[in-house]
Amino acid sequence: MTTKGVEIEGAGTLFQIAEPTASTSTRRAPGRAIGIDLGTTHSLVAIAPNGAPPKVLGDGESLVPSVVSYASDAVRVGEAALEDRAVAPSRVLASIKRMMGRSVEDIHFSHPYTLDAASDQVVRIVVGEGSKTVSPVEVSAEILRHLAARASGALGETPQGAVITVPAYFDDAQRQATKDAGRLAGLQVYRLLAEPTAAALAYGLDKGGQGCFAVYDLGGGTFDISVLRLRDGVFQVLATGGDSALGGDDFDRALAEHLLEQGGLDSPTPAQISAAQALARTVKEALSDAESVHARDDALGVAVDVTRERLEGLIRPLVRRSVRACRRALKDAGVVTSDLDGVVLVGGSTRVPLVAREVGAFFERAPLADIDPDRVVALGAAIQADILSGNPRGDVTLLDVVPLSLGLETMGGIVEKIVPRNATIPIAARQVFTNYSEQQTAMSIHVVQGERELADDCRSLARFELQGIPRLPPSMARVEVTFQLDADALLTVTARELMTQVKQTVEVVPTYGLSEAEIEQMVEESYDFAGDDYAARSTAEARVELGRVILAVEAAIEELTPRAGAQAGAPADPDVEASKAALVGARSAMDTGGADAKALNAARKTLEGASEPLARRRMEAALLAGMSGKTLAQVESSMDEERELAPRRGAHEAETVGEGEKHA
Amino acid sequence: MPLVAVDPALDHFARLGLPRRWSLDSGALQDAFVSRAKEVHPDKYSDAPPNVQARARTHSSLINEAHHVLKDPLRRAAYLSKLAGFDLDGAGDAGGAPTPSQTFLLEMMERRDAAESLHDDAEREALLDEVLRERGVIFQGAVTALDAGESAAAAEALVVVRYLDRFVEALEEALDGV
Repeated sequence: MTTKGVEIEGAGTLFQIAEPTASTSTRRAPGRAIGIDLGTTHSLVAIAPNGAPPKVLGDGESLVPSVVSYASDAVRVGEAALEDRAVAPSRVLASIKRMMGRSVEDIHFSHPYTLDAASDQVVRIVVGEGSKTVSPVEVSAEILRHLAARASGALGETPQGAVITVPAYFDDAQRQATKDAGRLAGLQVYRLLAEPTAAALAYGLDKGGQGCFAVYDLGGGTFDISVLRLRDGVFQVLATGGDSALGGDDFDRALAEHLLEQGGLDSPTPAQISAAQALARTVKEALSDAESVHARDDALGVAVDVTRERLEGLIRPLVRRSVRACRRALKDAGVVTSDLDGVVLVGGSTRVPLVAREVGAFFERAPLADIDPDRVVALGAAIQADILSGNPRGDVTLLDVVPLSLGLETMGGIVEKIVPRNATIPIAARQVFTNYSEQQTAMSIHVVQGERELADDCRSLARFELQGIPRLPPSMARVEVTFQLDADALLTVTARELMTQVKQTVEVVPTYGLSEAEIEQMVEESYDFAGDDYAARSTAEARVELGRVILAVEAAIEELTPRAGAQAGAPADPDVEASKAALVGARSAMDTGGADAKALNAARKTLEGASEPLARRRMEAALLAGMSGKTLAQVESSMDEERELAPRRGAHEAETVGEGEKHA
Repeated sequence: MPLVAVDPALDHFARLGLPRRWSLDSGALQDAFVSRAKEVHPDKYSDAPPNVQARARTHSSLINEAHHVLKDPLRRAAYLSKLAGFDLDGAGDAGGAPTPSQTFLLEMMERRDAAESLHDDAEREALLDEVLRERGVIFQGAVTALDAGESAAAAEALVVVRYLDRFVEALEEALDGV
């Protein structure tokens, strides 16, 4: 968790916690940019220099296995790394994409690696028996370096910049990790491009497409669905959705379990599991053409016939899960299947006949797969790389979206959503937060990502703290927080105290990403648990409100109680006594575990009623005290500023998706 | 291509060059959005100095936000109401949402109670249809009032629409078995 303390010094100073990422000052070299599809199981590099048609590099073996070997001093990538597997299996790393942007505690899925227990934030994988560890970002950088070297050969010079594709459903942490890997590999990352958007770009330009399309992208480890509108060179993503822990690898695992069961292996060793998965993958691929395959591995003791029907039975629930995400994405895009002009299949796993069939059935049309589903993403990335290096290519513009809502945690653990999912990026949103009590001089800001209403149910991205907030009565200190998402869907947060105009910039440096289980269910749960969320939310709100009133009443009693001895024997203040009595009841409601919103609200109303005279007296006192510290001119000028700013703020304040919009 | 300075004072309609009223041709909105989004997209300034890139980002953000608000009929209506001084999300007092009448609130409570005692989905469906029809009529009234400049009446109707929307949500949840 990133915690950053900030001291606000003097009004008007521009205060920065961290320098925003250094902007690209190097001139871009047209024609020297590459497109990279950094996949879970394999990666590719493509170029499309100076308006040329895109092509994937590396004739015979354009698909580089996303495998890195640390068996010898020289790091080996791809096929060469696979060869090392036989001699030094514990020094060869694969499927590292699944660990990008995640912390150790996020990695619940099965993997054959030993993670360094000492690193609690960034995952480090122990290589071999020694003390060497590597992070997923470093491993990915090796793959990127390998691909860039391949491109150097084809371009005749070192590539300068790259567009790297990421699953559309990647969150901020996963995107940031990918960008870091690019930087580590010595590449200027022009853009992180969503995989389905890249595919649409390749298709759209190839076919001169116009209209509304869905891109169904099922890779080795991730699933994305995007709905786009293409018109006059503008590729507008209307909605995106997916599952960052669903892919062809899951098909292999399901089939491998079946094979082990058939072979009578009740408690297989890790080596047997991995052998069974390799066998399953071969069988799965063969079943794309054949109706039945004989699966045999003598070392495993497996020898069974597997029919396509059998495989389909095993993977159907997984495919259905992807179709449910398609339904949600269409709904978010506000289109129905008959509005679509086509459905495009992307990713090697769409070669499985059941996938094409289920997708065709849901979208009520035969899906398109005429560009090789393994290569289309890299081709699109190469086109975008050429555009960003300075070749307009017929005035193409990509308008992409942010896949998951972003918000801030407020008192009581409630999330204030300020950027809704599927908002077109770049986008900025502002929200004003007020102080809770006069004693509060710091405000901690917690940035989360996800669809649930409580922060605990969303993914924590970063925390930072504003300090030195002026001492003002409750709700008088106001902090305006701005979320800026750039065209990579990476986030920058700025916060400003409105009274003093103190501003600060924070680059959100995420310490980990969304866990596979969490992200997989986030959107789904926001539907499933809408009722629970509502109850929890109203209880949390009621608790905050009651707490606020208790604090205010306590402060008022404190202020209005004469110093001990000053007026000994003076009659008790009846207003104070009434409030004290009501406080007893309110505190007991606060301390009652499981109190619901109704009980908490009732306690608050009683307390508010009893302490009303006291509150009035105190407010008068606070106003007088506040005035005395400043000249009248100062007070008036700050009020004028507020008045001047208010309508403008109103004019471009973020409208988060409100209630009722689904019927509008 | 030179990029003009950002004018933070523009409202969402002015930013997209559209007349400030609820009735809006969705094709015109889409055209206005796409043509402007294309012009100022950061990709068009990938090789520009950092301050120009930042300006392109701000321009794009404001245009995207304007489109997000205006493309949705209810968000558009609520925004117009806010521009007219009735912020439906504002709290009480000046500039806040009009408070619905006591009679209306009581009636809503009674209707929700009655809905909760329904046992069969056919009854719920029928009630849902009825509420949606009612919502449609009131929303139409609200937007007619907005375009006629009767902001206070429009804001009152929009508040009612929000109550009805929450009622609709509850009915749908009951139908979905949540």
